[in-house]
Amino acid sequence: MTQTSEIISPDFHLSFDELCKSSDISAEYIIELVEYNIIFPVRGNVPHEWQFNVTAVRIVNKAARLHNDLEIDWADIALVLNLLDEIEQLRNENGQLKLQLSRFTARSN
Amino acid sequence: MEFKDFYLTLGVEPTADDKTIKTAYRKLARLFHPDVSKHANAEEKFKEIAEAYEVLHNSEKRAEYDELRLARSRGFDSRNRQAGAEFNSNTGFNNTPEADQDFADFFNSIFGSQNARNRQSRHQQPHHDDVNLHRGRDLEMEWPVMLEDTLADTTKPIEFMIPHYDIQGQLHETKKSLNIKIPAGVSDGERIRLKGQGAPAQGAGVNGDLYLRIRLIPHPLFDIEGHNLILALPLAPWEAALGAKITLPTLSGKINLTIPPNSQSGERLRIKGKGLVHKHGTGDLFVALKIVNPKITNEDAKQLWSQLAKTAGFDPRAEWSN
Repeated sequence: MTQTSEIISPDFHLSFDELCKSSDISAEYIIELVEYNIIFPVRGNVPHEWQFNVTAVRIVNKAARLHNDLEIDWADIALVLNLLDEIEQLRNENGQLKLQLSRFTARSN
Repeated sequence: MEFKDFYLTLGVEPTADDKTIKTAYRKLARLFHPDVSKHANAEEKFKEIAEAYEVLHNSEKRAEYDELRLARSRGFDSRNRQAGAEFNSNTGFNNTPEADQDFADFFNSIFGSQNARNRQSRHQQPHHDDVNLHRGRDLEMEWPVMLEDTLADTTKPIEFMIPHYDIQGQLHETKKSLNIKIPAGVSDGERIRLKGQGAPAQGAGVNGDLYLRIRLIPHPLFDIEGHNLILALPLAPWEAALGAKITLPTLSGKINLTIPPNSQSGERLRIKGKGLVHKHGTGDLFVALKIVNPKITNEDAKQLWSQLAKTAGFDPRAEWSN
């Protein structure tokens, strides 16, 4: 068992190089995703200076899967990802509203 | 390995042309792709569909597979005629150890050399395998966090299993314990990255990263609405009518709240700064009033309600008569 008493602080960003290593697609495709505004750097003007939010890894991998498995063009992936996010958001909101409603409709005594 | 009928998986005839196969794959992939599907076994089902398409959309692989399929079918026919061999009603094939081995060899020749991480990237483009060959895998896991723990930076221990391969290529798991700082204001679904805390590298490479997906544990009292919290506050009818002073729970301790007279069920009172912490400040707590009627258990109470009914002159359905 590996144990450490050190307190580990999370990283909120990752570099372009780190994003390339953590994702399922190559650097040139990641640049393409930036050009299509599917992901965007929060800092830096050129690729080797780019810093991304941690969520970029999930977005890049999801975009790669949709592109490869469903043969969706990169240009259309931004739309698909937005719609999928919106569905997830609506599902969460619906769940929250149902929970709130149940507090008013449930018998309390 | 049992023979897989890829035509059956895609729902096409063995004589189907490339276009039909592609159409069938696209239709099923859209239905079962784990990123878009909510089917319970979508991942497993998509894997089968992708395997079938991987073979059938490539003319060389398809020809090889068709040969195997035909040989098995012929073998079955002759055995069936001679000895009445058992027919497999699921696949339409007779699975014998030798035949299964032939198929296993074919299957491994296509899929065996690809590691699990890259299976879904099979159609593609320049890959990072050369770069990533010795880098440890990234790990992702869900991390349940209580609402109270999001108000300020908190340190929490976490234990998880790390998969790694030994020199012989055998997979092992090691338990790892870490103390992690949860930054104030984390939200549901947010991912936090712990650099180098993923699977160990092979040889001289660097460790993978650990990603924690935050899941806020539902609170027994408070519901979340963006950065705000909602609390349903039960009130007796006389508290709502006359006003009241209530001791109210919040995430950061109890406070006193004044309920104004003539309050209505469903009305919301806003308490500033008692919601969830976020990057630009703190949300609010909204108290939603819920009038709860007591059960009438004695004659005195019944008399008092009757008296109120006579003197209040109140028609709760007055709007209906307009």
